[in-house]
Amino acid sequence: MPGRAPLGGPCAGLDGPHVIGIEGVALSEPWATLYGEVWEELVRFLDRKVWDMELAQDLAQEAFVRALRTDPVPDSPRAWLFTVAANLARDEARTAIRRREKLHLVRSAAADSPIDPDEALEARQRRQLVRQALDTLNERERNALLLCEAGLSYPEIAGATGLAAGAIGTTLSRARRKLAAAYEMLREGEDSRAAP
Amino acid sequence: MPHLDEGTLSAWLDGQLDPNSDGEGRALARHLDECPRCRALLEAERIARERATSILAESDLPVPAAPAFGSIRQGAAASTGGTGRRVPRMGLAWAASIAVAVSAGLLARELSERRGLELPASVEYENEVPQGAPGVEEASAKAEALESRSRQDVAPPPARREKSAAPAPQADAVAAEAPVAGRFAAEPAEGGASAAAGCWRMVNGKLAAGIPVSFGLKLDPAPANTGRLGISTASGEGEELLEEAGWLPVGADSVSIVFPGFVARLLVEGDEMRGSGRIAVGDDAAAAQAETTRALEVRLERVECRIP
Repeated sequence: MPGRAPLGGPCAGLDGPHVIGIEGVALSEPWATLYGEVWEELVRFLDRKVWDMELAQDLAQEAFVRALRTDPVPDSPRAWLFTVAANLARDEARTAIRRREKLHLVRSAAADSPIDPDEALEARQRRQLVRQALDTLNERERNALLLCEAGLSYPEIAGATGLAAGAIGTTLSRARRKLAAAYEMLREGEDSRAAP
Repeated sequence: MPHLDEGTLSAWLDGQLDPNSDGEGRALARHLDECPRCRALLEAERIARERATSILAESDLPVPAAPAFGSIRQGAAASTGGTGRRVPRMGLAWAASIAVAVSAGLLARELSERRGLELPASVEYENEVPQGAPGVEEASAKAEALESRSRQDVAPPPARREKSAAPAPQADAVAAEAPVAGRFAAEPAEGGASAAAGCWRMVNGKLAAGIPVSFGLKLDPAPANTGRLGISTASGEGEELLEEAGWLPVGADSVSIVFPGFVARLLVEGDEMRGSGRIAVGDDAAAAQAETTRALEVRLERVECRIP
C-alpha cells in the first residue's frame, strides 16, 4: 500500500482512544469525552481562523458551552462542534477590533514570562505569511483544509462545510497545492525585500 | 480500473479508504501496486499534503491545557439564550468558574527550625466556590467535617508535630494574591519552644483538574537549608486529610516532588519558592498514580505567606 497514511491521520474519525474525563472520572457524556479529545485541535483550528490564541480559547469554550445547551446531541458531535466554532470565529471577525483592544489589556496583565523580542518578531512574521497564504484559498477550500488538519473525517468535513462528501478529496488536494504555492511566493517576496 | 484522480488519492492519503475493509480501498491498493503513473501522482499528492501541514504548523502557537470541563458546564448553566456569556478564560479567571474535581492539601511546615520562621496559624481565607458544581456538596460536607475536626483538635498532622511549636500569628500575615477556589486554613502548631511551623492545608479545597497551575510560598526572611516544604493530596474519605509524602529540603535551586498523586517542581529564587505541579485524584496510591499518568493537572494560584 504505497504512501498511505495510517487511519487516524490528519483526517480521522471519532474512534480515537477513550479519554478519561478531565475531572478525574470517566465521563460518559459525549461532550465531555469529546472535550478531552479535541480541545487542542479545536483551539488550533480557531487560532487559524482568528489569529489570536487567547480569543481562540475563548471561542472554543463558548462552542462547548453551546454544545452543552444542545439537545439532543447531534449525530456527528465533532462536525457540529467545529461548525459552531467556525461560525463563532466568523462572527468574532466582525467585532475583532473591539475585542482585541479589550483582550490586550487582560493579556498585558497576565503576561508573566519574558519573550525574546527577536523570536517574537520572527513568530509574528511566520504567522503572517501563513495567514496571507491561507487567505488565497476560497472559504470552502480553507475550511476543508483546516478541518482536515483538525482531525475531522471526510464525512465530518462534508457535514461541517456543506460540501458533497465526494468532493472533499478534490477540494483538499486543490487547497493544499494552492497553499503551498502561495506560501512559497510570499516567502520569496519577503526574502527579496529583506535582501540588501 | 481507470487511473486515479487527485481527490481519490487525497482520500487515500488521508486514511479515508480502508484497503482491508472496503471494496474501493482494496481495488485502489491493487491499482497502485500495478500503475506507476498513479504511484507518481500519489507521491506528488503526498508531498503537497505534507507541505501544507508543515506550512500550517509554522503558524502554531502552544495551546494551553484545557480548562476543567466543569467550568464549561457552569458556563452552560449560567448562560441563557443563543448568545450566552462567554466562559471566563480559566488562565485569567479560573477561580470564578472552577469546578470541583479534586480535593487537595497544600502543606508547608517546619520551614525552619533554626531561624524562627513561622507559618501563620489560625488563618484562613476563602473565595468564591461556585454553587452547583459537581461534587460541591460532597466536598463541602467533607470540608465541614474536617474543619470541625480541625477546630476541636488543635493537634497538627501526625508527622513531625512534636517539632511544631509556634504561637499563632495574625491573620494579616497571609496574602493571597490570586484567588483559589477553596479555603486554606492554617492549622495551629502545637505549643512549645521550637521556632518552626504551622500547617497550611486546604480544608475544603476544590481544585479543578485539567488546569496547569502554579503555586508559591513567599518566605520572609528566606529560609536556609533547614526547612521543609511538603505538598500533599487529600485522600479517601476525609479521615486522613493529608498524607505526608515528598518532603524535600528547602533551599535548593530547584527541587522536584514526585509521589503517587502528585508531581511538582519547585523553583527556589531568593526568598520565594514557586512551583507547578500536577495533582491526581484517587483514593489510593495506585489510582492516584493512574490518574497522574493521564496528566490531570491542577493549578493552585499563587499563595503567599508572609512570615511575621
